[in-house]
Order: sequence, then structure tokens, then C-alpha cells
Amino acid sequence: MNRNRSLVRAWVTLAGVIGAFVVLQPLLIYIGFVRWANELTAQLLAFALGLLGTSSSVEGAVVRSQIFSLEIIFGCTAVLPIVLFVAAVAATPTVSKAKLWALVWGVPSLVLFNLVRLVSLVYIGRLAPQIFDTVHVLIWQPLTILFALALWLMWIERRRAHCS
Amino acid sequence: MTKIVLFLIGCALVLTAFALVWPLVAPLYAQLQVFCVQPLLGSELRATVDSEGIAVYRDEKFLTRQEFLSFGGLGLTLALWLMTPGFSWKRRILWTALGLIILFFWHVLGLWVLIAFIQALEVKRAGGLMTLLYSIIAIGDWVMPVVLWGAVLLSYRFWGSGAAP
Repeated sequence: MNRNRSLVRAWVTLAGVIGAFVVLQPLLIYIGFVRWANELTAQLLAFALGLLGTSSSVEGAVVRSQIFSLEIIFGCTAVLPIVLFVAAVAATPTVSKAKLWALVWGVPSLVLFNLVRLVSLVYIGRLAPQIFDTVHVLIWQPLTILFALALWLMWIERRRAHCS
Repeated sequence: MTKIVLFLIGCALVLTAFALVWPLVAPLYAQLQVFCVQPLLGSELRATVDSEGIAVYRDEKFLTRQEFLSFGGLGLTLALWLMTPGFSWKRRILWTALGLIILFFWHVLGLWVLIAFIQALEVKRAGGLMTLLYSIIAIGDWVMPVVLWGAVLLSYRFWGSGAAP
């Protein structure tokens, strides 16, 4: 009976965190969070391109570089994978300290992975523009979500090993 | 750890295969959606499949479009269920089929809501709301497979069937 209750609680937490994010979309736009996330991602991308020797400039959420220019929209940020990771971690029945620790290393990992995705897309846009949309939407986007889920699986494995 | 790295590599392979096959399958999938949505639309509305996706017209005037690329959640569903370690093949196929069916109905619902919404409001005045609606439909496309997968995995974790993670 307790196990059933815990399972329902986990389901409700998983769906609740993700549902809240979807429902709160207008608020996120209204308070400027979406714009902030887009612009921050654009700045991080320009910085990463700079590290790779490609000079670029940022204007709002638009990154212009010598090789390719692109505009960051909300779907290009790491926010959705982070929300999915947070929801999965929150739904997992374990102590709060462990969950907090998961977020401390998980969120930066997701931001970094998303940055790798964006940098690769800049080069794909330059080298193979005909496959840019396909790689962007059908491969990299789901792969970023899958990376968030893989981090969650990895965390669960580590917790299991730690507990046993 | 190795299992999880293999999971990610496997997912990348499934997604690549999906991206290669999708241009061939997408028109059929879109046609199936049009078949389901058309009876729900008024007689003045017509949904057709063209080279980019599903286009909706009202008395020959273009209203809105759903691109083939906006159905990427199907690839995510396939990758998740086919590559998660620890499931028997029977369960794997069952959940894949169920995931694809649920997502298909989400896409039909999304298209229907989009058309209803665009009909109810003047497009030019509803620019911000349309962006929001597109955003919610797109997020749902990615979120639906994850919620189903997460719920099933959590169940296996609670009931201890031995399925991974």
C-alpha cells in the first residue's frame, strides 16, 4: 500500500514539475526569463566559438560569426533538458541532499552539452547547410533530452551502488 | 556507467536512422494526420500535405502549417524505448507502439487546436499567442515521450522487475 502511494507520489512529481513548466510558459515570457535564457545562451556560444578561434559578436540573441550566424530561441537553450532532469530527480525517492547534489553537477553538465550542440551546429551550418535543419531538430534536439535522461540514469546507478 | 554510455550511443544511432528515413515516411504520417483531423474541421477548411508539411487553407487562403520537422518526438520515442537496457523485447515493442500511438494523438490534437485557435483569432492580432501555442505544442512533442518513459521506469523501480536503469 505504501509502495503504491510512493509510486503515485513519484508520478505526480514527475508530471507536476514538467506540467508546471509548460503551464508557466506565458509567465516565463512575461518576466523576461525566456529572453534572459536566450541571450545568456547566445553569449556562451560566442564565448565558446571565441575559444575555438572563431571570432563572433552577439546582438541580443543573435550570434554572428565569420562562418555562420544563428538566432537562439528558447528551444535552443538548455532549459527544457534541465526541467526534465529536475523533474526526474525530484520524482526519484531518495534523500534531499542527494537530489541537491545531482542538480549541482547535472545542471552545468547539461549547459555544457547544449553548448557542444550549438557549436557543432554552427560548423554544420557552414560545412553542410543542406542538413542543418535535420541535424538540428531530428538528431541534436532529442539527443540533448536523452543526455538529460542518461544523467538521471547515471545518478540512479551511483545511488544504487552507494546504498548497496 | 558503460551501460549508460552505450544507451546514449545507441540513441544517437537510432536518431540518425530516423533522420534518414523520416523524409520518406513523413508524407504518409502527415496524410494519416490529415485523415484524422479533416472530419473535425468545418467544410470551408482544407488540410493538405505538401513538400514541407501539413498546410491548412480556408477557401484557398493559407491559414497555417505544421512542418514535417515538428514531429521529431517520434524519433525520441523510438530511441528511448528501443535503447533503454533491461527490457524484454516483448515489453520494448509494446511500449514503443504505445508511445508512438500516444504521440500520434498528441500531434493530431496539436494540429486541431492550432487550426481552431487560428480560426478563432485574427492571425495578425494573435502573433504572441500563436508563438506561445506553437511553443507548447513543440514542448509537448518532446515531453510526452519522456513522461511516459519516466513513469514506466519509475514503476519498474518501485516494483523491482529488474528492468534497468
